[in-house]
Amino acid sequence: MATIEEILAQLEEAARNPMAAVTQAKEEGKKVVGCVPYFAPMELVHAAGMHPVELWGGGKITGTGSSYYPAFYCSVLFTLIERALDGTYDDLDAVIVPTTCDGLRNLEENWKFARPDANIIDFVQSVVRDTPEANRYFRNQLKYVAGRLGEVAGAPVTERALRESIEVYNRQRQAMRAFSELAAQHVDVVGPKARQAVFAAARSMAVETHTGLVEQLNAELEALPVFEFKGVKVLLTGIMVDSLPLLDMLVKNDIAVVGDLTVSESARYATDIPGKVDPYDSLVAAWKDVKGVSVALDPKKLRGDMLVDLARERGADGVIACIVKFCEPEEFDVPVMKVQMERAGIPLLVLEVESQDAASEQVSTRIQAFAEMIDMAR
Amino acid sequence: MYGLGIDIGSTATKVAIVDETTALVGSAIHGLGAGTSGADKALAEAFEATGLSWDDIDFSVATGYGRQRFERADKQLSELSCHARGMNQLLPGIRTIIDIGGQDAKALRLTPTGVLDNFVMNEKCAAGTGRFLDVMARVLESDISQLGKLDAQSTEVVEISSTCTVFAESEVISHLAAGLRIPDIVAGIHDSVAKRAAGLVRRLGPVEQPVAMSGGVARNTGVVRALEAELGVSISVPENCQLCGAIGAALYALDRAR
Amino acid sequence: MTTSVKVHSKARERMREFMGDIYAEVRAAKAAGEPIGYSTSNFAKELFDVFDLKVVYPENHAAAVAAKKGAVAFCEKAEALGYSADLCSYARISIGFDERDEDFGHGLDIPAPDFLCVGNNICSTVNKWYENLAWKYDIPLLMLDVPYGTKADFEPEKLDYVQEQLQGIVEQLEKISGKKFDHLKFQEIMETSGENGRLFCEIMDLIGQTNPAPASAFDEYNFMGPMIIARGKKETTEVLRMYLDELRERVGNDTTTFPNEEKYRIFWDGLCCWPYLRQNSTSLADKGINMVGTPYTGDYGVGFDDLRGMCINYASTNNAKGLELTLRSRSSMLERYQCDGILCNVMRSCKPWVGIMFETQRQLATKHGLPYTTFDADQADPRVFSEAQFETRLQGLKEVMEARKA
Repeated sequence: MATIEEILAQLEEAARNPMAAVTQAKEEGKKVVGCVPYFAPMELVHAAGMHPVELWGGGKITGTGSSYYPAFYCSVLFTLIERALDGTYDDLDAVIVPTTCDGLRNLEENWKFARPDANIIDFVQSVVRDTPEANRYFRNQLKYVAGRLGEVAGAPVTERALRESIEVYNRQRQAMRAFSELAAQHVDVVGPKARQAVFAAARSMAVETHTGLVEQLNAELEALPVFEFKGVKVLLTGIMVDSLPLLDMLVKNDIAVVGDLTVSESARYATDIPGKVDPYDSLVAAWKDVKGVSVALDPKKLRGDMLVDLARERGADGVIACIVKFCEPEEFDVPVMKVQMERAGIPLLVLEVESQDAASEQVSTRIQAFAEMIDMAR
Repeated sequence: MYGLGIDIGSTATKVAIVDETTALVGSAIHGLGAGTSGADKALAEAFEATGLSWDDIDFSVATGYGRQRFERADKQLSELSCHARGMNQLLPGIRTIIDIGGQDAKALRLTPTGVLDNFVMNEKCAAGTGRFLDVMARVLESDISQLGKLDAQSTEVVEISSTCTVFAESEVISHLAAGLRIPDIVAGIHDSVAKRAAGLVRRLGPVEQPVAMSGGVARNTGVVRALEAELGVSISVPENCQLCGAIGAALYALDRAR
Repeated sequence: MTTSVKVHSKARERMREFMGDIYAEVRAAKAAGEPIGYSTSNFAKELFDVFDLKVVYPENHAAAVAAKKGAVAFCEKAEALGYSADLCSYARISIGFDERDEDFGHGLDIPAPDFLCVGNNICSTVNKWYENLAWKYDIPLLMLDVPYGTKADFEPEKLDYVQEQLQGIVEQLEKISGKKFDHLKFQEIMETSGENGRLFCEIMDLIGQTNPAPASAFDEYNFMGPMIIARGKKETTEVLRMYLDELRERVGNDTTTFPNEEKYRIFWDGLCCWPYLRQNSTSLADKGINMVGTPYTGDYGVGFDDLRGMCINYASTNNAKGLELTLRSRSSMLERYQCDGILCNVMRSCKPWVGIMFETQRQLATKHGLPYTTFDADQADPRVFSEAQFETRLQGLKEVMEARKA
């Protein structure tokens, strides 16, 4: 049996080189479909017998994106269009682009024209998630995406295959929920970067492989005694917290991550996909179940309250919100979260993250001061 | 027993040395910041003035933008904690600190006992920082140290509406071309900086008084005037406003030395 | 030779008269215990009139506050609450205004909302903005979810979805107003609204298709007010007809309200820049450049006869359309309006529009062989505009258009 270090190393490798999985799948004769955030139906890609890989952009901003966006657009969009332009995604047989925010709507359109050879599948989710007409419409969209995927795969997506894929993904959801809890108890073994890698690896690895590794990892973690951490414990929240320099800064300041409400991490695994008579209805219900993220309509603004509950459950000292600069959905959540956290007496640090891969000197100062502040209050 | 604090900012390095009674026994300010010989020079000046050497120092704390690359210090702390501590020494009881430095502007809220309670910092943008004032002083062909005096001569403040440094620069040029008085333009520039800083302060919630200012820009009486007007409060500026972070660091060093 | 004239517009006078003190009515209704709604500009507004509900349109209100020089103070207030300065300026002004410590005056003081109506056909930003309002006041949020138009044509399934939602909205409004839905009244209002869209389109086309134009499209901004807040009203029909007659009269006697000789005709992409409206129009006019068309006012220039048509109208707003639908409508305007160039307002805080603006302009410029230039500004935040930059870019555009004519 592999050791914890070996499993983590394998997951980190996959997390740091997401396109390697694409190459490998291609070599195995599989077709590969890119899934742009947020909440693209990877289950459908899987059911079509293809390999889904989630695309979060990343990498250097070279400037080519500025022929599509002015400087005041978020780095996720900016790097996605740049990677589309520089050929990073050329091996993909199709790309599903959801439209949960204005920037993504634009991306879906720009990509079609920037790379006419790319097979862009538009996925226009309903904003409303709790009325029969919204569910009917959303189901139609899923059927449309399934149809397009069937064309790419050369065979239609069957209900049987979709049911099976949903089960495969549910197993991953269970493993990831368990991992989040175990990682919080073993922050000596699972540092912020390793924790992020376990989540990030799921973006590109075959779901079965990833789930298998995480289940092994969970078993090994469970066998260890719980680690009593003396430093500052935090929760992370955001669209994504991928900046390795930022995660390093946490370590340097003796901060451990004991949970998250982040779209690219725990938020997507919060519940199982419900089993319904019609498997498309299962996916409709899964969209309805998405909670506490800025890109799914929520007039109750549950995000802050959910963070408060999670902080209490996991014994977190504070919350760090990593807000990708120019991300409007995230920026609108900040003032509300501030009030919610203040009412609950939980310190909140809002970090504006300029680029998803880097962190500025100022971010380092803010993190250090936040840790010092919590430490002095003890 | 001596504690030494060194605050390596983006444009200047400040050193403070305190003795076991927490009294400031030596200090130096050198106009070169992180990544330069500023740290060495400031230290040399401080040691020369006090007759002390590095061997006499029991503990040292580095803070400021260049703190992480200054390896001689025993410990490094963020400038937020240090400014809070330093201000609490200089002006005990202060609840809100506004610090405008070369690259950063920040607002700090302190507990009644002088401990850092919350803070906010500026977005990555020169508006509302010392850098903005540098650019404007250059456009006006004025010395940065004279802006306060010019401000005092203003009779009719010229509004600067752009927040972007590049746009504000062209706005100032057009005001100059239109023959508007330099003191009035300077006052407008200060109002603009004050608006940004006040925005930061308000993000902390209702302004807790008393309020003080630290950092190099605090020496500019025009900015202080504009901030007082904008926030509707009176603002104290300690004599050693530029040394605030270094003094805080020195005090933390003294804690450790003990 | 077309003569420039100064005209006292009876249509505008009539408009001001019937619109009256709109917010005074809202305040009175609130005081009388009636529920007040806040709605985005392109929600299914016909329904409000069926229930006689008083509604405030915060974008329209924010633009009015910006025009009264209130933008900066309220933006700063919102920013102090933690709202990023990068967010939509209408949202920031409105959120800041909602927190005001004292009356603003200018007849613009509005009461707090009791229900919210959001149409995401103008952007996704409004979803977030109104979410926060719903949370703050703990009030219902009614959504008209208009799926983004990603194809070259309107897709039947998306229109079906828009149409299907209306019944649910009606039921919620019945609850809020305590009144029963009157379907005959609705029919009448819908017909008026459809007719007003048609008339507005006629106005745009008369200005755009007459060369030289009888007015500048800047004038169209004046009549957007009633189209936003009183689209289903007969008084709006009356005003639009009056204005159309005025324009026809000018076309007939070869006069124009454009104050200079019309040497160039341009198309304005983006919202207008409310705080600098006068500066912008004067600067254009001084150079003999007439703005003869803009897709912004085009949001209100769609007529219809039935429910399906009404849904198409609400799926036709600028930001509900992807590139192909956008290109189709703009191409047609550029051709019919005989434009010489395009001026683009790169609005700092209107991301959905600007996010496809560059590709749109690239394709339009290629297809029509037209020069275009951009300038940095915003719809309402005056802090991100530079008069010097605007002048330089506009002059550059003029010189290119001049060289092409020679």
